[in-house]
Amino acid sequence: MYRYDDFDDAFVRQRVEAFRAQVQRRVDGVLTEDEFKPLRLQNGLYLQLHAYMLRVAIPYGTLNAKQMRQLAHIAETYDRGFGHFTTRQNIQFNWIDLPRVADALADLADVEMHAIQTSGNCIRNVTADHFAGAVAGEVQDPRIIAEMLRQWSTGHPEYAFLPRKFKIAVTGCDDDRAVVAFHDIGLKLLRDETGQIGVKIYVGGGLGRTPRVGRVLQDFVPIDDLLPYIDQIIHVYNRYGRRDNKYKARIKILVDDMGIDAFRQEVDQGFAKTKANHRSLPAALNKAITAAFSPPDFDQAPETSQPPAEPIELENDIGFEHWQATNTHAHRDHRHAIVSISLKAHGAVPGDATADQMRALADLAERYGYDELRVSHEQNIILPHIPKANLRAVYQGLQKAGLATANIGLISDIIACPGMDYCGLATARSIPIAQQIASRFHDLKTEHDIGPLKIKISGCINACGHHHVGHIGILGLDRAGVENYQITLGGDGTEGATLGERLGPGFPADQLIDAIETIVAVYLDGRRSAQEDFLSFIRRVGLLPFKIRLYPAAKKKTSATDHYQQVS
Amino acid sequence: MMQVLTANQFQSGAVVYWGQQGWQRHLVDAEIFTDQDQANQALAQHQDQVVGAYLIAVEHVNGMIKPCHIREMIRAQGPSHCETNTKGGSIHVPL
Repeated sequence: MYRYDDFDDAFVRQRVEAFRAQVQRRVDGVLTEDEFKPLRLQNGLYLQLHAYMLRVAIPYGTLNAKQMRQLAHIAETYDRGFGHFTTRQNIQFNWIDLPRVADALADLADVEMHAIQTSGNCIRNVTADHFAGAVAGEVQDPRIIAEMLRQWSTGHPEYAFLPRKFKIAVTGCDDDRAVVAFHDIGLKLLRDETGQIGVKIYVGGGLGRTPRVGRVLQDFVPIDDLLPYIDQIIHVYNRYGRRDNKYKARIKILVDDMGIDAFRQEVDQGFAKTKANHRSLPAALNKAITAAFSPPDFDQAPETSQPPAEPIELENDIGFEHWQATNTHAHRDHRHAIVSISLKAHGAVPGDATADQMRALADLAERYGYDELRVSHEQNIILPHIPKANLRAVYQGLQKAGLATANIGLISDIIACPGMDYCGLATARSIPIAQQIASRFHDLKTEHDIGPLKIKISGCINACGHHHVGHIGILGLDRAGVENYQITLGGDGTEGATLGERLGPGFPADQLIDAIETIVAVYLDGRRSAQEDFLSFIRRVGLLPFKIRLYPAAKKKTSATDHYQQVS
Repeated sequence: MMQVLTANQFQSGAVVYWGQQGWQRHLVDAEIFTDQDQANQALAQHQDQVVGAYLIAVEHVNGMIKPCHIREMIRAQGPSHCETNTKGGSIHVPL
């Protein structure tokens, strides 16, 4: 992974001390809240419902054991012993006292981490496929580009005050786990017919109150032209993006207004003028970044298992087999597997991990996984390179830490934003809804039979829980002071890139879980076989069968049976 | 209408309510305004040591003061998914 050089280290520590002085001036009453607020936001510090929240950047979700242990230390020393992993592969601490924030940031700097550009109208943490460098079929590890963009965009003077926040995601292969079509800029690595590596660029995707699938800006931009080309995209956005209305300020609205062809023409003209003189990263730095993402020496993989640090008895082999079937993924090297660790134990808060769990994850990564962990945008943790001979030992370690839930990709593996339990913007709660859905289907013991099904929950229209791209999306709203939940079906954040369609009127909280159970029952009753997954079923039958069961008035002339026959 | 003045304490970020003894951590200690002018005057006067002060509607329920809106219930009692909260008691805001 990329390591700080002396410049990086000095830059981050200088920022910590600058913020320490700003906090002190605020505590001393020299700065008003209006003066202080933009300064704290530039350092990832929000004021939420109950306390300050510190959002720490985890570039493209990659971290090592030492960094994970430091996050555990932060959780215990400055928070309440836990942290919350987010849909942008970051971590948030929900209970931070203002006077201690600079100390926490200094501790982060000790392990090459910070909270810079995790808030504000700037280029945010660049996200990437959480299987990067581990999965087969990649053109190139997407973190190389993500790191180049991170270095280029961090502290970029021209782009510190964009019209709105700006999010970039990168994937290196055809299977899109980075949701690239729903970012301000989405990048997909590919090769042209000569074998040259380049990037397909999507622009103007996004969720929020105006969801848009990203539009293709260029089918192929050579890798050497990528930075100057992206520079021009953001330059055009910075110049023409609206600043008069924050709800119309994202680049997706600019692309809507200009049209993709006019937007492309503007970018291309600027690119032609500036390309020759663009200050891209120096070649030596480029080389160093590429080298930083060289894969581990997979030949180190043991052929026989290493004993766990503290042997424990397995409950039974069926548990391990279920977990292995659900929570592991094929690795590029046949001797290894990618392990997805669920932070969604049934009834738990999606994305939360205790300090002890973080340390257990660090220990497992160090002992069995080449000292590397990832945070996924689905709020889980990945061990990207685990020798197959050690899978059982990893499972044992996870069991001991309460992290062996075998539900990756299933109905209880729910993305949920913090919602109204923490967030000052939320209009309804998300976390209790996620807990209740997971508990309901766990009690029913049907989730493995149901198969792949992604539920995503947002507590307001800003869509931090990605509800638009959930197979089942849930949006919490305030209806005359009462929480009410709209359901969308058929969303897809992967390469299928589809926005979910609203099912009908929303449900109060006390009817929502039953409604979700009904939706699943419609699927189980109507699927052709267990091989037809939930999303495929919706694409075949549409929304009508669900509407008929959930809203009997919608039945009218067409019965569910008639409809199945029509679309079969 | 009964109202209470609330804000977040500026160092800890904790939810606080204006009471006879200044800013208080518990809603039960809040001063209740039934006169809009008095409420507005309190809002204008008491901005020290806090961020984002504003008035909320409250009501009597079983002899206790309760916020009228679910958001303010959560602010008063802590995250609803937790068994315990900052104020030490067992809490749960039912869905």
